[in-house]
Amino acid sequence: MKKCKPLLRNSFVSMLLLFLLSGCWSSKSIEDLNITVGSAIDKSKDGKIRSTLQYVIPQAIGNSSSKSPQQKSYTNVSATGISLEPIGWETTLRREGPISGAHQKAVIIGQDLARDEPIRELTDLYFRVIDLRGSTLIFISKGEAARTLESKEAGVIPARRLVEIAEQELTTRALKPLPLIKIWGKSNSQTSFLLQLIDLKKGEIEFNGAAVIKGRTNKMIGILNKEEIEGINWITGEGKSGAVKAFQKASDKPTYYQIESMKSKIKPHVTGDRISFNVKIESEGKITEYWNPHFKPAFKNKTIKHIENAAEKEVMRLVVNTTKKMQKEFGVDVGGFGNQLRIQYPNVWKNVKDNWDEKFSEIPITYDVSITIKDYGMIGSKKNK
Amino acid sequence: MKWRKLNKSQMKIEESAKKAKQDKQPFQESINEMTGNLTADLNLIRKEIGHNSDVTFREFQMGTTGIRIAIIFIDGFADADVINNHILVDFMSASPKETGHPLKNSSLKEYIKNQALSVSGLNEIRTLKDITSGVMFGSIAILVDGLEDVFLVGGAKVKTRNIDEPPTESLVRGPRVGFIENLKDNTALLRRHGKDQNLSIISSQVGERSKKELVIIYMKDIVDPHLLEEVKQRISKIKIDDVHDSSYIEQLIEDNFLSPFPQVQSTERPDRVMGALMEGRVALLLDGSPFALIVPVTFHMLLQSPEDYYERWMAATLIRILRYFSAFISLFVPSLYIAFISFHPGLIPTKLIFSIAATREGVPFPPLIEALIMEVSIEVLREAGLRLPKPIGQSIGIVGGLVIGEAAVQAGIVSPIMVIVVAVTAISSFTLPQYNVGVALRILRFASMLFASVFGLYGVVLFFLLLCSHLVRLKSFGIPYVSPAVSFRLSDWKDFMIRVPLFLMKRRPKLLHPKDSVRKR
Repeated sequence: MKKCKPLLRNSFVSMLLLFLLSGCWSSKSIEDLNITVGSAIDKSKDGKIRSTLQYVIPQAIGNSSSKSPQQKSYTNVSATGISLEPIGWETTLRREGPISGAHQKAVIIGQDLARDEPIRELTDLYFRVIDLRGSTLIFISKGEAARTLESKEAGVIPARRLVEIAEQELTTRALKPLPLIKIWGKSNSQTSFLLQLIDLKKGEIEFNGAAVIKGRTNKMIGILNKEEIEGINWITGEGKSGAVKAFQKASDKPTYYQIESMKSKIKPHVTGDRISFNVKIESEGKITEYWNPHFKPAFKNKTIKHIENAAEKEVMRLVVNTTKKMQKEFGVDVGGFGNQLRIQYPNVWKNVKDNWDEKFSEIPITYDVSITIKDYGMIGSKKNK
Repeated sequence: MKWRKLNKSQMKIEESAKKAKQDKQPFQESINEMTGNLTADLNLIRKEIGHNSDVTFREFQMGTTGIRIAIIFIDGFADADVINNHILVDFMSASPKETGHPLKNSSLKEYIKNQALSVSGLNEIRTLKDITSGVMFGSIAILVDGLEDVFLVGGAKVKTRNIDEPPTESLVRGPRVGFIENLKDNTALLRRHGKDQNLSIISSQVGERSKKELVIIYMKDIVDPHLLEEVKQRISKIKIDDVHDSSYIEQLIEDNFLSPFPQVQSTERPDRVMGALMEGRVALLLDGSPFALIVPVTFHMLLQSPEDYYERWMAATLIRILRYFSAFISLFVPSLYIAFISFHPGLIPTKLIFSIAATREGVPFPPLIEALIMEVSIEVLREAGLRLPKPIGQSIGIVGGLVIGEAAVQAGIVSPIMVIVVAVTAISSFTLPQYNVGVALRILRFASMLFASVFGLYGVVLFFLLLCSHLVRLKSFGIPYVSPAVSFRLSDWKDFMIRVPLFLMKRRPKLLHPKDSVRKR
């Protein structure tokens, strides 16, 4: 037989070689991976950074027959170093398998560290590593961050529980979750922002307030409590559900208004050099609890108006209280006022953006709150006649 | 490769030499004409075909005249009813009227032809070759003493089965009729199904040694003449000793023998053939094969069933889309599994990845090997179930599917997710209405698994592009294989992935260039 065409022969041989490569270079079988779902960054005793990675143990979750009920479904590995990258490699000396960050959901930063180091620098690695998602949520922990990644309950992965609580956004007493990718923008534009604060109660996590990050320094400067978060949510209109106290006098006994929708519109006014803001807050909802000591018929417009008024007053109290805290105590704008000014008066914004937080403390803000009750619940008026 | 060409040319020379020899033989045979002397003629025929055990000679006398007659036929092949009830009865009871002259030559012949023999098909032949070939093909030769002409009566009576519903293409709704092995019955079926005077059935012969009848069927006033010419030309080029089944024809006239996709559609259903003819396609039927061939074929035809037209359009459309979906599944699911598991764990939802990782724990093989083990074993099972007699075939399915699958998971050879992947793949490949498309996708599935294991999702995408570029290039009798998608004709999309209501399909598909394009007014 005469010789084949060399191109044909070579390509045939190389095709055959291709089949030998069944376990290929970048191929990593998932059962060998250490799937991290969360990580915590703390200040270590010697002033360095201590990072804790939470790995999932799939066998403990999956319903395979080898599952034992006592087995924890996660394991935490921590190491110390001056920054996150060397720490990551340090952990591979202790546990087999490469680290996969594609399912990383949460990063918790300890309060001590957040007050000392800029958030942007602490989270730099998370931005740069490609397989980490921009949707990863960032939290601040009141105490030691590593302890928020622990739980006594069997079958719970603490990092995932954190994220699930954050993403459900059930009450206005918690912040809207802030993903990594948005923090990048806020940090670079030196905007002040809030991060959800995590506290520990009897060893289990609790969402308790928010950490205030000052734009200029990108460090944590203080804490807002749950009531002040409510105020923030009313100003930004980002809450989805929750309740508002709808009685003023103690003799009226508890009456509660449940939020079904809320809207807010921040309107900047500029006259000459003077900047002022007017915030219009609208909400619709229903009465969910009405102890009604005086047996007032709930169907009567007068009663409804009375309850609406009480709720409006309460909301007003919340937002004014929060505004005072923002302007007077911390001197930061975390309600998104600056953004509205930037959108509607770009020229004015150019002049004030450099020291916006200081300017903001002096600006007068007025609020209009209107609450509409659409639904009175299952109990009508007849029973109380 | 030069030696091959050389060999070919040598072969050609030999062939032409053979032909020359063959050409001589008929010349010699043509001398062997019948003499009219019955004894001599019979001896001549006996010498030629008498050694066959099934050739029967029967001699008797014609009624009262005493003229000797012999009939020659093949026992069991020739129509016994014609022999017993017509030929023997007619001749033995023949009593020609006394006209004065003894019956001789022409008058005898006329008498037999006009008065004695009560059969419809009657040929007069003279040469030995015609007689032997006639007898061999099932006719009855009648030799009359004193006549040089030999009568050839009747044709073969072949035992045929009943017309049943075709087992490979059963429908829920639609005619329960399928082709059988007898060509005449099949063409009659078509005539009955499509009562159109323009339905043309043109006969031709294929096979050098065993000559079989092949008919080309088309609608005279619809079909594109160029297409018809192309089909005729390709058939005329078939030079093979014997075609056992229409699949031989399929393989000999297809465009690209390297493609895994079938380029000729084969079907057992007359309604399907009629539908194709009405679109301007050409059908071929071979004697002895229940499978009709339809050309040209486009890819979407292979994912269609006649039922798509019998059901209402919404149901038909849904089922059609479902079929495309399951074709995709049966082609790509194992390779996507491999790609996701070994290259892109980030693309799997978080909760799912935990359970997959848990089930894969302890499996000793990389995903490709795991997938290959399961895919190969299910192909083996399928083949085994197909070849075995029906009652055993089912038990093979149970043993294979349940026992081996369950045991393999228990033994930790494969993961349960893999079993699901393989099962889903196999089941969705069964939804394809044409068996040969399923086979094509099976072949391609393995290729795509290899691509996935080498390059991950990128490899799967590469493979898909490769496949697309092949399909776009492929043509069946000059018609692009994936039309009307490429070359794009929006008007033909009415009957592509969706099936619009019948009243909207007013024209025949343009891609076939029909002469009469109006389907409905």
